[in-house]
Amino acid sequence: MPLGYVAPVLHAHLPFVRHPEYPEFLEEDWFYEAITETYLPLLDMMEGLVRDAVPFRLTMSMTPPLCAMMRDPLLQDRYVHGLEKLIELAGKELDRTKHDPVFHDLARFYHDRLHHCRTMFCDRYHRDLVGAFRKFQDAGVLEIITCGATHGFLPLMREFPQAVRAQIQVARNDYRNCFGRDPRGIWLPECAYYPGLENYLQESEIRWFILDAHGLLYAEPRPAYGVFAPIFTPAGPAAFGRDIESSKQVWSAEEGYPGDGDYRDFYRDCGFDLEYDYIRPYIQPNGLRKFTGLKYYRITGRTPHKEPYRPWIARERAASHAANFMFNREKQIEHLRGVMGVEPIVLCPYDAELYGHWWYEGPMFLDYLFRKSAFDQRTFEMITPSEFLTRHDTHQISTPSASSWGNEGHWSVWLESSNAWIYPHLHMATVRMIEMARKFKNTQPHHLRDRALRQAARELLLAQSSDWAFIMKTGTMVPYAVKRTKDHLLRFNRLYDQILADRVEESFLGNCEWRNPIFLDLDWRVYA
Amino acid sequence: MPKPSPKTKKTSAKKDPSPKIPKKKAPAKKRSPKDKSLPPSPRLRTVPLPIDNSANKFVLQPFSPTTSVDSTPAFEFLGELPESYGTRRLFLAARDPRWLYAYWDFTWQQLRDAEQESSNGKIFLQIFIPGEERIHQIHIFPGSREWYLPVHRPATRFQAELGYYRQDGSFHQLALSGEALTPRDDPSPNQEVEFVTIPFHYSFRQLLDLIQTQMMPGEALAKALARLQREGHPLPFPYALRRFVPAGVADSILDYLGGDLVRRIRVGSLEITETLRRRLLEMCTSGTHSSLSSGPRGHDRSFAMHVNAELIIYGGTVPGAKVSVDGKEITLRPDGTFSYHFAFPDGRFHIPIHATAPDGQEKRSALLSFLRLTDTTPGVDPTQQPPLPEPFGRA
Repeated sequence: MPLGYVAPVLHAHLPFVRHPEYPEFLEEDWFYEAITETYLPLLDMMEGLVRDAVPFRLTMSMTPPLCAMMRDPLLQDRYVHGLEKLIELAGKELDRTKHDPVFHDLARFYHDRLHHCRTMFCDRYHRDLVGAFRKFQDAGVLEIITCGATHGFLPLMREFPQAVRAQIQVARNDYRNCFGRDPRGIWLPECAYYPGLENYLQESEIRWFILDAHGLLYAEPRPAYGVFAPIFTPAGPAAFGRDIESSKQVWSAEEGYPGDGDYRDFYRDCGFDLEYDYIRPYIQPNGLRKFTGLKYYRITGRTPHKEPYRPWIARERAASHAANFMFNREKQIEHLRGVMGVEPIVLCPYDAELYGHWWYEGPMFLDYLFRKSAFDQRTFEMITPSEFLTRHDTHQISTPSASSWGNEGHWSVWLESSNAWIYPHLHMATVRMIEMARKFKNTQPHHLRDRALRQAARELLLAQSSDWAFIMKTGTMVPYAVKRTKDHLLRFNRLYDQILADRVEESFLGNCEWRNPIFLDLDWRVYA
Repeated sequence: MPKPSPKTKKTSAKKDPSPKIPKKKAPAKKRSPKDKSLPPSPRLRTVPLPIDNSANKFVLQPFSPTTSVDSTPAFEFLGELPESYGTRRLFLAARDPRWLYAYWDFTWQQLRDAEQESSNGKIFLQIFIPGEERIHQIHIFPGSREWYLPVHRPATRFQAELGYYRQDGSFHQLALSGEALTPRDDPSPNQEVEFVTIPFHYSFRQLLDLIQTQMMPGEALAKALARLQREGHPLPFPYALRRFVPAGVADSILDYLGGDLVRRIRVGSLEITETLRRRLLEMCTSGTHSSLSSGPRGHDRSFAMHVNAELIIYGGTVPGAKVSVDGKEITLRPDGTFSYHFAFPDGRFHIPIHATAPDGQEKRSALLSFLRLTDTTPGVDPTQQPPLPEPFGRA
């Protein structure tokens, strides 16, 4: 019997960014880069672990917008097109660097890596990444959980139960479409919780969720085991708390693993480094440089001078960091078991996109961690929260404290001077959506109006995405976030006017549907 | 500019790495017979040549610029959102344990009218604890729409109202918000421990159906199950009897986490991840190249220099011909021109170039040889990737 458990959790999310109205759109790159650097490497890792019969458990949230983008044929086509161009660039790099063995080896490294991505994406998974992840869930090694339908910040729609319910039920229904079963856990958008939210989770049969540490530690009454055991909320869903120590170990700016000098430097990229005319076909259509993903340098140190990247050394570092992480969890769990007298669970949630995309060696680190944990120690076992609740079904009852995993722990990232202007509009649209749903829920079916109501609900959901407020707060790419928020709200308002006037303009509705084809079978009556 | 084919151009490091806007190609000047008699004398230009994008000299394959969007997509600009909707709604949220946030949806005219109806021409936002004292009274102007209010009272319920004073001194309420509860910012002193067994294989619906008749009004599922289990009520699944947590466990756990809790309150629990996300967004969206930990263009206060070189071979033949550079067949542009670009470290290089006519009947060859020797003073590093070229030119 293990002394305790470790539950690694990756939160995979990107906002719904899809612009068929333009031949290329920079912000779509977030998705394409994440496929190449995070999702495919994670799938590759799991393939290897299953092939080698390594017992492991991983939990991942895959948000509905991410799944919608993964399943979208236009984005799939554009990803393959972009990958082909990168492969072309990597081929040129082989030639360009042929007299420089160090960089030539790196060019070869990327050339092979990109070819491998193409093989995985096109040949092995036939472009279906949702299906690829689903396969591992069906195999029992991966637990996929859901999220708010569009990552809406739920505490700031608390006054509108229909809006909260829609975020959760639309997500659950989307999950069923993607994964053929009901979700058992949810990643609350931004881990943002307020007392009473668990009632909506209970309605959707969602059994557990994750909070930042203080959400659990400041619960009422005080949880005896801190963050090292879940609590049952009064309505029944369990709340797990984030372990601070393991998070810090990975992400601390000072002592975290990804800052190691042998790891690949994120910022040095051919898109910015190489001679302009040479790189011109691979950057933005408007001529501005951008990241290509071909990065030839390692972090080296706190110096502008960077040394060439050495993949084989970086791999060794990832292995040693995985060993260190495992050792620390062993010691932590031995200590906690002694204090608690029962098996602790150490839950380690991270943004998935930081593994691979930002911390290039992150998937390698996870791979080594799973392998070493399976064979090199007996102190703890890897587990998913659902499995934990199956094995351990008796816990303390307590009500968590309102909290998020944002800066300062509450709402201040999503409600401050740069972004507070959105809430009167979001709330007004919510009131109007509820008004329409109530007005038409019992009327005779009307095809065009039904389409318009469904699209209005989509536009409202997309406007609610917490990503827009977050981007406004961070101060970069603000115009895009502002335009997205306004566009969805303006489309909603126009649809609202047309629906109530019984004059739905089909060309406008069709344009909205063409731009934002998410939640195809959305039932707008959820707002009634 | 007419170019002999093939010819070479050396490039060296240049300070400004930012992309240049391609300039229109200048019309070629005709050379006079006298010019032809001058010996070619390479020398470094004092002014960098503009980037001649139209020629795409450094591109192996024909460069096809992305199709630009000629017209604005349909329904791209839908106007502006209204400043307010005039619903007379007052919203209050507890942003954190110390701050409240309120907004009100009144038009400017609605607030102006209210001002005129008031005894003193003023509208107030008031914050109070329901059933208790008033915390804040703020005079607001018709132009304002929101307010951030410091309360510094965790775990407290607040409410807001908007209104004005009538002539008789009573307060006329224009809008009343819902209640907002500030979150705790410390562990609860309540250490009561109540356990419940909730079997994972039972759905919530099944559990609710199971105990529906035993639930008290308003009682939540887990609470009801805990009560029934405490009372020994028979249930179709095994459940744990009341469990106790040994004294001191909760305090030991808090002690174990203590340092981190303090840190969290001070700097925010996910500051690091947010910083990283922010950096990712910066990197991915702006095209700027700022860097937190590194960067080729970071601010190094010490004096230094770096320099490097690349080599570009370019030329042209007839369309349809086959050309190989250093043994590798390359793609020609539709007009028969080509270019070849690679790193140029120290060393001696011989690069053969062969062209074969489209019908295979004729061949042309060239052998280009290069030698690079670098000698630097201390403090000079190789530029890690050469940026824009500063080419040799011909007078």
